[in-house]
Amino acid sequence: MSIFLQALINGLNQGAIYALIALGYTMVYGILRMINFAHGDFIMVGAYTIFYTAPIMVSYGMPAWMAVLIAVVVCAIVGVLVERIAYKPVRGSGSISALITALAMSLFLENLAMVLFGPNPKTVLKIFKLPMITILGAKIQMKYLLTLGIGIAIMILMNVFVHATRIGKAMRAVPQDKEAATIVGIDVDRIITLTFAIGCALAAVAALMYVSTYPRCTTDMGSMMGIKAFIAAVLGGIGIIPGAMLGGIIVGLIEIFVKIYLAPGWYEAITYGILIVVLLIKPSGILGKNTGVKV
Amino acid sequence: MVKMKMMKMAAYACSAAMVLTGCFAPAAFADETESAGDEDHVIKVGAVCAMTGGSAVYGTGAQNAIDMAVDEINNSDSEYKIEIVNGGKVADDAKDAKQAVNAYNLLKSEAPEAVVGSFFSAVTIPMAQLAAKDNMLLLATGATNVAVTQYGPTIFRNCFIDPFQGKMAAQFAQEQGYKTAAVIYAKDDDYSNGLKDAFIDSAADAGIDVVYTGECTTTDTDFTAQATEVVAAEPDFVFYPCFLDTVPLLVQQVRDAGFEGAIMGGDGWDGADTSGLEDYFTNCYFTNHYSSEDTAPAVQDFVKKYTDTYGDDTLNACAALYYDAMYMLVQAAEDGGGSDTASLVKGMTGMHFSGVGGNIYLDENGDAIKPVVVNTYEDGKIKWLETIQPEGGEASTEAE
Repeated sequence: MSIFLQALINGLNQGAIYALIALGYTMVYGILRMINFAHGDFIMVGAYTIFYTAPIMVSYGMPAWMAVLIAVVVCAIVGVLVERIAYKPVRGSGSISALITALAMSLFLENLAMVLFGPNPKTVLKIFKLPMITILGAKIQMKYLLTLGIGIAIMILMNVFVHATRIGKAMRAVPQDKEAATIVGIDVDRIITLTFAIGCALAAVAALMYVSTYPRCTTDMGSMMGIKAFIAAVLGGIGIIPGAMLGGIIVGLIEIFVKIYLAPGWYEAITYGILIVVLLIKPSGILGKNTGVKV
Repeated sequence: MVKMKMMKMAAYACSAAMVLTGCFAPAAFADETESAGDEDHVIKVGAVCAMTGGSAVYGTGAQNAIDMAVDEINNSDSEYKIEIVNGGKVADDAKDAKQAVNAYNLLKSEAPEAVVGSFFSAVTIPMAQLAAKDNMLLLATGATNVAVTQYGPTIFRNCFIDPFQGKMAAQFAQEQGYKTAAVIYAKDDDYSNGLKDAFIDSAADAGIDVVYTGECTTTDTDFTAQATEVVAAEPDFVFYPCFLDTVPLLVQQVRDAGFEGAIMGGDGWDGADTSGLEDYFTNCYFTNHYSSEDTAPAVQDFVKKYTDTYGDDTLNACAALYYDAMYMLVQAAEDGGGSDTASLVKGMTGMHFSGVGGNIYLDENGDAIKPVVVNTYEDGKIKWLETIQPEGGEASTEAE
């Protein structure tokens, strides 16, 4: 029982990280019908920002997690720059061009990071100094619960934002019909840029959650995280915000539970296997054909 | 074994023949052997290590140590000098078997007389296979997997082998009075498997009960599942024979899951970043090739010179092993009577060498018999705990 409970918390914690990254994929896909393969690398940008700014925060007497505010700004700026410089010029040239550009951008960011930060992994200092609690015999780190709480709060906020604000409404309108959206006075370019900024800001928060559990940044950390989150987004139904959350949580839980109850070495194979099965049965993802509004 | 001895004999015979006749008819031999022709007293050496990726800290140390050793040797009155091919640069294997083969072939194009490296077993094994085929002298550094030197008589190493490290870890656990142990190992890695098998075998002999064996991969960052099971199995001791890049992750997650006992690893832990995790690393141990706190003059000279020139960020066992490797080649040339590959092999076979890594004896397989150091951590800093001598003290007595 204690193993189960502990695994559940660990799985939800990891799932919340995947879900936040998947949100970024899904929002960009929802609005541009483009898979931004560089999205995982924004986690890396966020993680390195936290690595460099957390000690500064601490030296000024502020809590280390405040570094996430800087990371959010840095990631949003990088995201907007990437969109403006690399993606916007190829926006009209078809999906293959966009895909290749995104892959190239991913490699570019990873190699740029290698040049800037060096090839050695960096260990991030302790972000949350929280005690361990024991529930039903399971030893649980409060920081896991905290990151889980942050993740869930952000997902709810995003859902409210997209459904209850004017900008959210515009974000939903753009993918339905770009021309019509322009006619009714929506600045499509601005909405797209904003979507990128928000997606990247979420990646920065995911980076905080990641480094608080796994205190390490490497220049290639984004590619694996990105693939997992992409699977999560597709699993839940890409383009749908609740789908990204659901997919992320499912992938996180599967990984941890497979490691404990089945074969530890097989968790990735089983995760991908489930993705294939879901796509065979329901190609649009778990929440796919739902009438849920696309972002 | 018999076959290998015969091959070594053949190698001796060849090299002896070359030494005897080389001076009379150098031109004739230049056609038959690639580089043994005229004796230039320069050993052309190719070096391979992981220069990029998660283990780049080793490669940086290797490059620095090689630069240092070559500089010392070439500015001394040594009969033999060293030239590092590839423009003096260590070729990058990126800790990847395919890249190691590329690195080996890249170096081979410059016809080196010996190849030094690599630091990891998984990348050294394909290189050893090629070197055996080419009759190239390969002096592996940190590659501790048993198989490495078994591909041919021209393969040597200046580090101990996995069973020895796994055995020493079990012996250490027994000495410390631990009764139960858990093992987490990377199943996609030869090194990790080698240490795990040896540890489990030796633990049984040492009366230690292995209560949990968990798998992971070298690219994993999440160990919460294994950590949960470790805590549930309630061992005194966790053995994690994996590489430095995942060590902070594992230690933090196992401790976060509530484990307070000892955590131990092999030489792969050397250089692991403990910053921010200082308290987590208390009661952690690893076996290693050498300790910078060793008071032996050879070690202290090396440490001082290295630190003065390059700082102590990359001063790890890898640097010490590459440093020793250069001097071993010079000694092999002196003992073997030439700087060509065959003479080097002759000089290297059965060598007694004394260097930063202690007194080393190369046994009939080309494996080093040498002392093993056990390190611990104090406030996040590596601290030498004890040095365990190999059984019979063969290395120390015979090298006198």
